[in-house]
Amino acid sequence: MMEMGDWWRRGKWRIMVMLTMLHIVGILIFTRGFLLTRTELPYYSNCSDVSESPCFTGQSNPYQNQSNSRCWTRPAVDRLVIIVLDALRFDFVAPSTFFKEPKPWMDKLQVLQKLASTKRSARIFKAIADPPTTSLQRLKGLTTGGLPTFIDVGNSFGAPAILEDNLIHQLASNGKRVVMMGDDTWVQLFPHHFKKSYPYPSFNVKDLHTVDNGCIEHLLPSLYEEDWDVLIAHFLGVDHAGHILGVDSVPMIEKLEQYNEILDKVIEVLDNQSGPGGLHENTFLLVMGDHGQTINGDHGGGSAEEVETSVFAMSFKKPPPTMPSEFDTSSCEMDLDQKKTCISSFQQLDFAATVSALLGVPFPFGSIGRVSPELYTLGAGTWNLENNIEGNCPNQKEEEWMQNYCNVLCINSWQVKRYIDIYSASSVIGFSSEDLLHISDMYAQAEENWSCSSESLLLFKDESCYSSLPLKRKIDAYFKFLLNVAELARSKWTEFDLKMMGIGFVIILISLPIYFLAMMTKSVNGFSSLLFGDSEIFVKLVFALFMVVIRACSFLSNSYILEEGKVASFLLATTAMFKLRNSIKREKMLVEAIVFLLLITILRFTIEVGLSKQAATSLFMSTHSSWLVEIDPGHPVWIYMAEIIPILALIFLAYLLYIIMARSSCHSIWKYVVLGTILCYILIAVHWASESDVLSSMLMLQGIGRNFIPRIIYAVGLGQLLLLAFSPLFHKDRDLESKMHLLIKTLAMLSSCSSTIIVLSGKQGPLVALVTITGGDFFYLYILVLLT
Amino acid sequence: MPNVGLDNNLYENIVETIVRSVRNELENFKNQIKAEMTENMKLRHMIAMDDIRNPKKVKLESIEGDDDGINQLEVTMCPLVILFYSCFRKNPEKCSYLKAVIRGVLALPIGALVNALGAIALGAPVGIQYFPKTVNWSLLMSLFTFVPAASVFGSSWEDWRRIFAHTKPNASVDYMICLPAHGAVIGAWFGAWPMPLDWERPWQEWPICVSYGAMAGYLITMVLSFVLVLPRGRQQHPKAD
Repeated sequence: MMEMGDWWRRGKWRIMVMLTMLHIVGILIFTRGFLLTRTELPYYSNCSDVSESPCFTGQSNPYQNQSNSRCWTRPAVDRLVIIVLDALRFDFVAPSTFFKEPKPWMDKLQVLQKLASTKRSARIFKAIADPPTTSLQRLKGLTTGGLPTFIDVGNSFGAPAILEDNLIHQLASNGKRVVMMGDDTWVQLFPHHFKKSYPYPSFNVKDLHTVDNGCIEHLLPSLYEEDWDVLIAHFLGVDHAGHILGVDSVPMIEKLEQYNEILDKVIEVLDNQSGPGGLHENTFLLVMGDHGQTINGDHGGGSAEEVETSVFAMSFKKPPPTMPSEFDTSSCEMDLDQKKTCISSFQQLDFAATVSALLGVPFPFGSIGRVSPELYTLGAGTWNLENNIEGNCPNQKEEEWMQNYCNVLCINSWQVKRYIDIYSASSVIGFSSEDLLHISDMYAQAEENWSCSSESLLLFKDESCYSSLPLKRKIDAYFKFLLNVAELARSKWTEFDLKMMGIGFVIILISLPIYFLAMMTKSVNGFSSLLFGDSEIFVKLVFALFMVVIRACSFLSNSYILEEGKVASFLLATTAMFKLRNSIKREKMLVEAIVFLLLITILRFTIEVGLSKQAATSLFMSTHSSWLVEIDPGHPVWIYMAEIIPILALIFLAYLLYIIMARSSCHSIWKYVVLGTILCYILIAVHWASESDVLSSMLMLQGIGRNFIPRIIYAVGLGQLLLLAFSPLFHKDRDLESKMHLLIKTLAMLSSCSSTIIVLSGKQGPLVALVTITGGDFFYLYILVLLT
Repeated sequence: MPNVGLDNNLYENIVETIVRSVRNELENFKNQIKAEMTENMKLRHMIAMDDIRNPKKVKLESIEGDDDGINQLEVTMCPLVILFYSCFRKNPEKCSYLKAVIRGVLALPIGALVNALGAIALGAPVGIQYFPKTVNWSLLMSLFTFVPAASVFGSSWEDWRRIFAHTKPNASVDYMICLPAHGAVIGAWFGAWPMPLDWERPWQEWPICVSYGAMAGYLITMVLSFVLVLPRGRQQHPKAD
């Protein structure tokens, strides 16, 4: 301690400041590359929003007079059947002639192959998903049209329900009746959106049949019902068979054959009723996978096998659709029966936008997908356009199609641009300004000169037919814009920036030898004797290092992810036992060690109970909800409590800080830092009050900007950290040894970080902070006892 | 510190007993592996035949087979360990052989309780269906850790603390208690590592891999302790004369 003081007094704090700066820079650069975070925006698309778009200027909207019910796009299909087959590999659906060699699991879904090769209204797509390819993230991606990361910063921390704008929400709020059957993940994600749902538990991987049998039981009867507009059936058998036994196994092939039968029946029913006036006159069928799987049945990563899944789309409308050949990107091969089968490619990102466009509901607010030309044509290519036909143009139909598609793309681009603008304005880690500029440029290019309407096209009219050239160019411009946005978003949300990570890591590594050198040169005796003199401390040090290294290594294996909590508590309990052994050795603090061990045991059980509850929510809660929650969750007292307790906890935290500040007599800088934190806490409380429905209506707080307060808090936090980092510059500490001083410094450090963390972690933040402070208090007592 | 010199006769005895018990254990181990493999094949086959309407039942059967293995091991090991270690009781003048044996027998359930509590703190599953397994495992662990120490030291807290907290074995017999006990515990601890992996193998169930880890650690450290004790015994022998 003396030497430290000595070294300090000699004005060598420059090294300290330099090291701190080095660390901050390194960590900032590293996290910039590593932390794939996306902020969830609380905004929703509305039907009326579209009037803000440049797509309908005045009377140029050709369909406005025809139907008043129209929202963003003209509804092209009346009813939609979505059959999701979990972990459907691309080669399950595509004919085996598309691959190098046939494998036993190929060509099992022959119904789909046959229809795709014989009917023009049916087509197989190769759908490319984005990693992470886990079911939950994929369902989220499919319905929001975005790129969910593992950490989506938003209001839904812990709770699985999707609060972002999504397809199901749009369907529900636009009067479409959605029926769901199968995997209960849907019900967890969308708890209140379905008109009817038949969820089956998905967490038992060994169970191949429960979910599928449940689906089959409800699927065929539902097809005869009239009381739905969108039907979702999610089969899990293939995913589970893959997880247990891999792709090349008997149950997998049996499952595929079973699906073949079911799909055959479904298509038969739909086809029988697709005549004029029938139940399925204008029904669209989508059979799709949410992600692929490897030969061993794993998924989650970004390898081609996991990412490639397929979509089979079929329209039951007559006559079959037509589409300009220049937008057809399919590749064709002969199938086993020597018939030509064409397969197009499709990005899963585009799913939400395309389905919204087909059903005529607003696109989800956060969707960055493009309305896929091929899938959209299958559903929408066959409007009754007879009334427009004036006669002698050879490519009149293509013309109409392109005009309509151009209109849709216009809305699509406008919506994507709106999202990108608002996202980069309200998120902490937004897009870089050059990228934004580039995108704006491209959008402007696409928007300039022509609108899609026929009026402006009259200029290019040659004789009686429109020239399709400007339309084509315009569509290409929109494509360019949308694809660029998708590429930018992918690079931002799905790819680690390895260069950044490497640079940050190297900077941190560089700081380590400097640290070591500084310590060695300045306090040779103290440091080395601390490490190597006392064998006991050395053993403890090695043990602690070992534990940390194991914990760190367990993150490397993705097999440990499921049981991560258990691994952590296992290591913690090991430490506690080591502690107990030490205290027996020294005959000191025996009671504390035992209590510590007991507490960890209790913690372990509470974690387990929590996990099992989460896993079994749907199955368990639905039958036993009455005794689990005594008060009805919708009870006003309950809601009120949930809103007010975090705020109270926050106020209590601020009060604690104030008390400590008032009692201690210390330097002003530290006081400013803590005062800033108290201010932040008050701001957070106001922010939450303004966000919640109950309190804001009472306190009239709605007017305060939602994004303004978090930004102030981030700024204050950064200021505090900078102040702390540079504080040694302002005054030289003579009394570093003083215990109180050290305490205040630590407090200031912690409090300066705390406000940002609380904002990010949501409403459980202050409670966690309170618990941590209590723990820290005990820890402090423990050290005091140890020292004396 | 009493000098526990080993005379030549006793020495041969030890070696013989150990060799016998090791052989026993190896045979048991082999049987277990064989049994497990056949169970495994059966399980695979049953899954392949798509006959897994009751996956739990199949799993329980395969594990019960394993329990039998551990049971047999305990039944054969228990008298061996108690009788063997009781030969080296501390203060043989004051404490009869029978008393040492009784101490060992009494320590078996107590040690099992301590081991079971430790396992539960570390995350062993709790429940009625796991109860017999946990009891079996903790008896085995008790046999590896508590019973030898109890037979030799009785209730001498100082000696227990010296062996288990300070890890400072002095005499030859100390080595033979201290090292295998630590080896068994550390082996069990490492044996728990594969448990949370998502490989879905039958041996990942509690307490199969933990028992294997404990046995492996025990065997290794037993051999190690002999390597350490042998030269000591030779050195001490002329002194005892």
